[in-house]
Amino acid sequence: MLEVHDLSVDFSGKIAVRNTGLTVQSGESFGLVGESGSGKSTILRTIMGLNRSWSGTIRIDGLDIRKTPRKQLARLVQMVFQDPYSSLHPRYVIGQQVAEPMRINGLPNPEKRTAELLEFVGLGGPRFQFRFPHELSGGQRQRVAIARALALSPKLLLLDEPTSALDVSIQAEILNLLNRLRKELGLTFVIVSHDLAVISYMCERLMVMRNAEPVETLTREQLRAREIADDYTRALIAAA
Amino acid sequence: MSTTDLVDDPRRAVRAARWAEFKRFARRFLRNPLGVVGLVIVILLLFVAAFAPWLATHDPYLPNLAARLSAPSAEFWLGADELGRDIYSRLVHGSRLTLLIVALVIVTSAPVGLIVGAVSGTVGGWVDVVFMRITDVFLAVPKLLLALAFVAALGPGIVNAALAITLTAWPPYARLARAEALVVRNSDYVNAVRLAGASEFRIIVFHVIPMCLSSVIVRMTFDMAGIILTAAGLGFIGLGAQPPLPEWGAMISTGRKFIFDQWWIATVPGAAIFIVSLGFNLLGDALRDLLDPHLRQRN
Repeated sequence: MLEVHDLSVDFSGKIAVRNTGLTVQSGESFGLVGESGSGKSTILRTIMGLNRSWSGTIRIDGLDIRKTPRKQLARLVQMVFQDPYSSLHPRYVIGQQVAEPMRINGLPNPEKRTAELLEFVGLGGPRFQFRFPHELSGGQRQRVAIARALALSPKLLLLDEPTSALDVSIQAEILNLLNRLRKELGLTFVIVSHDLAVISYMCERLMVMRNAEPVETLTREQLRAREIADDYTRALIAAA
Repeated sequence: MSTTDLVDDPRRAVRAARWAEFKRFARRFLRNPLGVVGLVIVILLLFVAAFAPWLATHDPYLPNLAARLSAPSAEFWLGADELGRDIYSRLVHGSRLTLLIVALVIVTSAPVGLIVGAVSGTVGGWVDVVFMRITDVFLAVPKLLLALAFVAALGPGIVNAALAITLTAWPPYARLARAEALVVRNSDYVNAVRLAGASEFRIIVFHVIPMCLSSVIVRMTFDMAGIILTAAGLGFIGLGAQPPLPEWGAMISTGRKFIFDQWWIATVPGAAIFIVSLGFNLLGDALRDLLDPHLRQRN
């Protein structure tokens, strides 16, 4: 589903990601863990084409992202941002925001599908889609952001710390919603988090990153059995 | 509105949501008494301009040499000028000219500045460099001087005066819109529509410009006072509205000769300019308190 080879990203001299590779199988949930600044979010943003200066190859469903038009990629991969307070446009009601990707891509019946999508993420009821973002709670906003990411029916969903901006009680709700969506829609996830508990709950495999480089890749079973090769990973788990 | 209506007519529901949003805004605005005073002054100005022929007691152009320079009285409420024309009637008709100039300048300068700034900030790169250097060139020339030179070249008159003011009024809007666009273009909500495949055009028009609008509107209300003053200034030195048009600046200019003996001829239009400018400024202040993204907490 997703192949990243030899990816390096630098922001005007400062290296954010160095020679990193990862492969995610279709239907899998893959986690990226590390301290802040270790380059995990940068990898997601680069996959989405939000960074310009990078080297290496990224393939999504076999398509090289450098050679594939944005609209074609948009149908394959979407992203949910970290902060639901800044990822929704403050001037539009949420129904319009969920419908916007479908309007851009000329899909039929955006209104009807918007209502279905909102229902699907647990924001049913006809009134919800006519609310402005500031009338919703953080958890509700994150549900809207998820509905918007699903609007184009992507196969791969990139989640950048999807719960770190939310209250602990809401985090579990959102994680369970994501798990349900993955099962029902057959999605592939790449989840970035600094919270090992979230990653071990959500992901079958994970990669630990430190200082812009990958440290090691583990399966969930290895993580739970503490079959860990690297000292840094061990320290990270001890701290969690 | 019942639930079935909402499903059947989503457009009306969106409008209803926007209306509710506007009512909330209006309620917060009414809590600011000075802002309300400003709003009342501006509405009064609009009212006077709209109904000038019915509010005026005399023909603003008809000289009456018998009544030259007469003091305020029951016949001439605010006195008469050097040709015996009723100052009150001229003032009322002059409000139309004032509004005309303000409207012409705002309608031409704000959109130009908004588009230049939004494109510049969103697209970045060499487009940004070119647009901003052009803006800098216009900002570097003193406002009144450029307006003067322009009017001198094109000839005096209201439309030319408005054009001249426009020429100097748009660059601040471009700067303002660019600053907002720079913040908005990298925000997650713009990235989200970018990831959905939106064109730069769509991003600028539907996602960046709405975010620039509030600061542009605030700036616009503040600018209106400045525009009125500049227009009156051009009228005063004879490069704006031409006689016999009852433009307030030109009225002050003719009254200047009689200021010691017949003070009302210059004072009345001066007071009108003062009150209207004050009204726009108070309104602008109140709007800034409500709309300025830097004063407002995130929501």
